[in-house]
Amino acid sequence: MIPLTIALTKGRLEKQTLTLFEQAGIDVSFMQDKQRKLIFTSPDQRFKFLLVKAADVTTYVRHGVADLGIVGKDVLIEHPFGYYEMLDLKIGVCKFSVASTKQYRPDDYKRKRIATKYPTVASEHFRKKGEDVEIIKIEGSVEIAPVLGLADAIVDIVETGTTLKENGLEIFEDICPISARVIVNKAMLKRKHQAIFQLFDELECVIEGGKTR
Amino acid sequence: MKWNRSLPSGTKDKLFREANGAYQLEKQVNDIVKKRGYQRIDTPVIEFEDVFYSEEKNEKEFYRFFDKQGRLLVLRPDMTMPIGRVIATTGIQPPLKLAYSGKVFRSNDDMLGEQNELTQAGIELIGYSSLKAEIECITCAIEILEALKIPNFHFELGHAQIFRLIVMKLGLDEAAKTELQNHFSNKSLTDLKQFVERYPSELDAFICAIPRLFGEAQEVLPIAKALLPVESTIINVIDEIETLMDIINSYHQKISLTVDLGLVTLMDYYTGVLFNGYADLVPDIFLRGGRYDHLAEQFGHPVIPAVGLGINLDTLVALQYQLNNLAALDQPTTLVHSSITQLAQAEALVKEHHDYQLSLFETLAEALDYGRKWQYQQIIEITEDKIQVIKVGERN
Repeated sequence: MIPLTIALTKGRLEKQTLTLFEQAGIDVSFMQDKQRKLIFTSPDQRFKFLLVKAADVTTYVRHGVADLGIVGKDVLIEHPFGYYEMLDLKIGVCKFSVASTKQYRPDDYKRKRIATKYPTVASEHFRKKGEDVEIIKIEGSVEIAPVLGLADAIVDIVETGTTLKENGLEIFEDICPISARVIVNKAMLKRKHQAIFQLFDELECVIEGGKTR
Repeated sequence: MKWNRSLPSGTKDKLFREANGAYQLEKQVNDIVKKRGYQRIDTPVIEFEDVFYSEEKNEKEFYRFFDKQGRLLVLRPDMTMPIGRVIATTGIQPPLKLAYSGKVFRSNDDMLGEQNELTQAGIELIGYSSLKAEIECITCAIEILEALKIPNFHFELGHAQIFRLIVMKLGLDEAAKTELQNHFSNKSLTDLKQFVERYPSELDAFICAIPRLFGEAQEVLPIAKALLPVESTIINVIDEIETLMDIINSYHQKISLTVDLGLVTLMDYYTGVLFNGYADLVPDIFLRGGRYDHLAEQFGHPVIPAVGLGINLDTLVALQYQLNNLAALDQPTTLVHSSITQLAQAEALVKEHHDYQLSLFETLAEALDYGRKWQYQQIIEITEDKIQVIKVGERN
């Protein structure tokens, strides 16, 4: 049996994914003692898991090194090509929002500077609203940009809003919800469709909101 | 910084066996289509951007530059649009069977590991409305893939009208159409389910099942029909696919042929049957084609029925390389060395044997070195008074 190769986003999403697999009745105990390994094959040879960074999940799937990938919608928006995005797992739920300090005036006439780790999401959002803004790409700790005056506002992922609050920011606008998706290599969907849909059927029983058919 | 020791990203040099293999493969494909009565057409690599511009297409991928009058030019990203331009502007009369091969260019983002320079070969049947044209296209593709010994290749049929009829039935505006197109091309179970909640109709069950409606025709098509209302025009489209499948199956029994009712294309000019080709060990679709009766229309010409397909030859060369199928280069066995005054005599000797080559070195020692390095069996030395054969030992 050729295992189904699944690229998992390392970290929190990996844990939530494995919990979901467990709920669906799939034994993932072989993933428990990870140490520093990055490739795991299940004892029954059904699955092979790769642990990679979020953005790399799309790369592994696009090139067919992994058949499936599990990754947040935020990453897919920034890396949108070359795979099927088939299933919303409804885990890792959060949202993209526009946030800033209290003093921020969204209806100000001036051309705003928006700091973000997600330039595609930010520019798409303001373009759709018909507003022209300047985007500044920041790699992390985006919250301090409006506080220190580098930018007028930020576009960032918000889960509970605690980080924003602690840095004196509030949400002005929600852009879109985010959750973990299953992406599939285009050729492999066709060649391994039985194994892939069997997994989907198992997962759909435990995904919040029920089955899609 | 000088970039004279680098290649632009997404490009590569092909050397020796690979270069020869790529050349042979392209020639093999061209020989087959020529035999089947296709006429070769060669269009420029440089065209005006307007030839390729369409709203739907991801025009980010173009290599663009200006001519001296400030007009936008591109390196051609595909071969089909230029053929549409030729037909609409030269007054040539269809029906025509055209064939092409050459380089196309896509300016992908850096560091994705994508190829920016690709070799494509393909055929276009212009002015044929009969289903025979689709059959010819697929038969021709099968002949090519069999001749190239591509292992376990596989065809998949779809139809551009399925998506179009759904859009018409639901009365979708441009934005909703684009959204549905995205969900179709993502095969998104979740998003399609949410979409039909917002746009409910009697097609709900069919739309939600789209991501699963691919595979063996005798399994998928009855399921698909059962999900549709009996009077739906989509059933007629499915019947057309079924007819085509039956005919192809009847004279290519060994061919693996499946359907995918969820196929959508980025290009709006596709109007009928769509086909994709896959093979073992190839992570992407290396062959695409279909019926596009609206091609000439894009260039202000009346509608002409047309069917065509394109094959990504680089993918097949890489596959052949991986499988070790590329023919070894004819290895010369003998190096003929002479002094410069005896060169004509040496040349005459080389001409008589296909595996002899002329030494261009000044001294015999250099010729021996070269012979050893490139695994020649022997060196023939011609001097004024004698001809002697020197074995090139594996060592020494």
